[in-house]
Amino acid sequence: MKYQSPKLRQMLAAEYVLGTLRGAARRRFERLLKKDPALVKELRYWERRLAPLQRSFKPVVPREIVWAEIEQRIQAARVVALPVARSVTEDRGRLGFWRTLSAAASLAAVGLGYALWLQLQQAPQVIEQVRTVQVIQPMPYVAMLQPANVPAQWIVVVTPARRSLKVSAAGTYPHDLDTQSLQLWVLDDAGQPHPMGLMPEGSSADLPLPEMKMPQKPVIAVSVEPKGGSPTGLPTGPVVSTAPLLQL
Amino acid sequence: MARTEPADNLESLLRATAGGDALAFRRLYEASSPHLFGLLMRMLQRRDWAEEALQDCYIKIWQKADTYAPEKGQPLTWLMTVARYRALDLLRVRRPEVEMPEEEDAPPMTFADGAAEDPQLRAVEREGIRRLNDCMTGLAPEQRRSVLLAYYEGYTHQELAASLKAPLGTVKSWVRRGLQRLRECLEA
Repeated sequence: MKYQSPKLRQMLAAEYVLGTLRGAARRRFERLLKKDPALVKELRYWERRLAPLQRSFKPVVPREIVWAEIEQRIQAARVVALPVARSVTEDRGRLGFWRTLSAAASLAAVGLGYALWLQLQQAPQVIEQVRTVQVIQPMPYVAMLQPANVPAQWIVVVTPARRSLKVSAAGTYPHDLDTQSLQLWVLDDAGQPHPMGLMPEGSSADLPLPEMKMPQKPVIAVSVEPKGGSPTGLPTGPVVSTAPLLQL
Repeated sequence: MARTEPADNLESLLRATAGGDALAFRRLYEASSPHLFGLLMRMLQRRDWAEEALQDCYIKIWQKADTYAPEKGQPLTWLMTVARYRALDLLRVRRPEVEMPEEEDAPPMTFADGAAEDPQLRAVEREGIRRLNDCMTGLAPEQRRSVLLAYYEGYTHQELAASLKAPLGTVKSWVRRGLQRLRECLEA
């Protein structure tokens, strides 16, 4: 399409704002906007001129739960979005507000994860095995990941001494199995994510443990990635859940 | 329509949000979310979709508050534009068929109702409303109807054709000519 014709550009911007520019054409227009400041001006023109129409929408107060979910999603995104190096004094205001909520959510998740882990461990064990574990093995790390509003849970058990990382899944997280994978990450103390393999499509899996020192306060996260995992080594898709990985 | 916060206040809340002030963000949400939610409920017609879209909008607002600039319009205009684009994206994926709105739920075919009595409206905004109102009145009825249905319902050309019981090509040209005339009138 000839995007240089001024008339066509005006019309594309107008139909974009109105909403009748759809599908591939809409995506193409969005890509053009990124490198075409003159087109952005056209867009702003229509946004401002049609803005008075917005005044006819009748305000509706949303339910309280919507705000709670916004808080939760911001908290989850913040954990992963931290830059590599961050001074302690930075970001205080932003952090402080979410801290209480985060602590409560983490405690709940860890408590549940621990209870589930105990259940998993206790049933098949005999006394000798328990003694062996206590004597020569440092305790494993455990975390439970539970995305909001989705009946899926993952329990992650890391035993550094045995270089073992086990994931058990309950339920399924809805994603396109043909084009997407769920990827597990561990965040180091600076908040930098390190890839830890793909979540099992079945009920459990052993994953390779990345070659890195166990962080002081490890946090794990799951994100939706292209099939086979993130091509960049960093999360590229939405983070669906995060949880602290705690030593038992 | 009553605004719960004057525009100046929204602007300072947006600025504070951009600086990472979570309490300002909460106040911004309280002051603006009913407007965004009203728009989303109207366009998406389903509470669950509207609630999810509202979350998406405020995540984006939290992350992108620093990209707000006065050239993008009044603060509430910008916030509602974020919501409108989100609704259009969701409609593209989620509404395979045309659902006709109930009669009493029909889209407002007038607009800017109550604008004249709103003391918080800036003169320049009032002028913009008057201007658009005048120019809308100058459109042919089918052009006006197409433009307003697309705006308020998020209808595609195909959905407009079904709703207005007219051929697709005809509807496309109603929209195009309507927008052209609107622009000529606004420029005049």
